[in-house]
Amino acid sequence: MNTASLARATRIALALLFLAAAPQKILAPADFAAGISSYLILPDALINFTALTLPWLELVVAALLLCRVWMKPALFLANAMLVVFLAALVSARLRGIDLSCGCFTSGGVPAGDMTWYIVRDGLFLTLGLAAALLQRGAPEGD
Amino acid sequence: MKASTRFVLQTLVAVGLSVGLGLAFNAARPDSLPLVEARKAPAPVTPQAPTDQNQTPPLTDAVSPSENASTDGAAEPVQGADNASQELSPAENATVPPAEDGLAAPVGEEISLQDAAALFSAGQAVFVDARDAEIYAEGHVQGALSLPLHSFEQDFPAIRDLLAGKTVITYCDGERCSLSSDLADALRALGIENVYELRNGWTLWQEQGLPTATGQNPEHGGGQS
Repeated sequence: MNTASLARATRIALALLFLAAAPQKILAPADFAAGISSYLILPDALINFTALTLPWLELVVAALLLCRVWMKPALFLANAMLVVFLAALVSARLRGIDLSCGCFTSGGVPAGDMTWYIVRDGLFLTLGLAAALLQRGAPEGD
Repeated sequence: MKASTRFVLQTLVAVGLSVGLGLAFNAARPDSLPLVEARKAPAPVTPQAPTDQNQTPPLTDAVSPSENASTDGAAEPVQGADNASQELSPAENATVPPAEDGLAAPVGEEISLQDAAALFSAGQAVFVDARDAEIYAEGHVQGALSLPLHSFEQDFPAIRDLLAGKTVITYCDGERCSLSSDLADALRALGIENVYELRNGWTLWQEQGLPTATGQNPEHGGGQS
């Protein structure tokens, strides 16, 4: 598999990741807001706003990645979101906060093993960074 | 246009588009979410379910918090001793009223911290921790049982008998943590009576310096699936 194929594979995988994560959060924003709130990071004034807009950003980024449009901003936003998600999980774990992951659902899922969520998000971030690195030097669009 | 300028503009457009779509979609929803929602105060929680007129008022109405009394040494572990990190009495700065005989039942599906602490000190309550067993082991309400929601079916039979005849109080951590509410619903669905949720229970309990313990659930080996 050459570099172009790897770049395409990681781009599509990243897009599908965000595509899978967004819909349920869009359809159940109140539950997602509850999930965000449980992290005890954002002020109350930003919780609902974040719950309402973040899933759409995931969706827009996924669409951009799939359509190979505005690749650099899309990859930047994708990795920025993954870094924030991972940092929030690690922060919650370190502070002993029990929460629903909210990663692929709108909330209400038992916390399960936080360590697993952190490892999983780390793998996602690795995928995102790989997609960004492989994209470097490639012409816009692929 | 410079590449960096284009990058910034495209990023801003993508973010702006997402914000616009999110807000527009929310506005179009029949059950749209308010942009800013006041968070509940960490004070005693208002009952949500319809109240029974025959029930007596909750303890929060009957006992003045200004008494600033501790539960003293009257607190007893609920069921089964665990690896308590404190003595049975709460820390000196505890402000929970003392236990009283003839404790009134809480009204609704939620219970205030004062009511929960009074039932705790009277030995009339079983606290059930809805968080992960690993988190539970790091610290929990003294005497609480661990019953993570995700392993409910597996762990519930082992503790069912311990709930009989007691007021069952479920808790997790965080104002919006739904695990304790879901756990309370699951318990009620299986016929357990007098089940109440102590919202944001772990944080409130610690803030008041009430008795806590560490270690795994002695009744069923931690409940971690």
